[in-house]
Amino acid sequence: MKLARVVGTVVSTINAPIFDDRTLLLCDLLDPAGRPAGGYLIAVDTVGAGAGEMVLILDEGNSARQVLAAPGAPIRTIVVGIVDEVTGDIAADPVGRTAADVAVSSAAPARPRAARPSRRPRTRRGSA
Amino acid sequence: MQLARVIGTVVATTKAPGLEGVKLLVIQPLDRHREPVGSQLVAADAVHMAGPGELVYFVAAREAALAMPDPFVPVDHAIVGIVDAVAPLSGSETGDALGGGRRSRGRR
Repeated sequence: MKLARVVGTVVSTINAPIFDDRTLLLCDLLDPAGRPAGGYLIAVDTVGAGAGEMVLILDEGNSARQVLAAPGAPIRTIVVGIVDEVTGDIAADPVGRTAADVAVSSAAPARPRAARPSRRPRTRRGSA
Repeated sequence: MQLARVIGTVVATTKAPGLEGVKLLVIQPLDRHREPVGSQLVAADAVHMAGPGELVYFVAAREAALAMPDPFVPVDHAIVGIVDAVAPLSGSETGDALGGGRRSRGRR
């Protein structure tokens, strides 16, 4: 799985039928320290992720189709989680930040942690 | 899935079985600032409505064939949607970097 930051949605009316009523999120890939790793993916949302959030991306077709309960769908990439924090020895960080600094700065970029409102309920869409 | 610009069409009369009636388009993959990235590819049009100049998103690998009416076709890239807009989510600090509905140049 990959870490990424949600930066926008892709809106389309003409698409394969499986994408009707699904949210497509444009996600910049990140390294574990929360810095852009280069590249992006368009992923189907399954958790109600919002702007600026660090998310967990599943980029494997069979798993993605199983999560969506859509066996024949042309879908490979889905958002499967919203990251609260990443901890551990992130040795590759050249800035020398500690893991705790990294967790705080990367998990909640858009608003202060304390003032973060509760998210809307996580109803899974599109799968029955 | 990734964004791409349709830049041409491919006509082939002799094709592998299963590819009859499949529209083939030349696409240029784009980064999220809509600048060309990587090499151009031939992709099958799974929405039947894409044409040159349009901004689309495509899926690669095995999932591309799943987008076709017959999922057992030799297709490895398929266009699965035509992009109306790449919209920033409300509150996104990076939203303005996405560009509007037109092709943006010289960003970043």
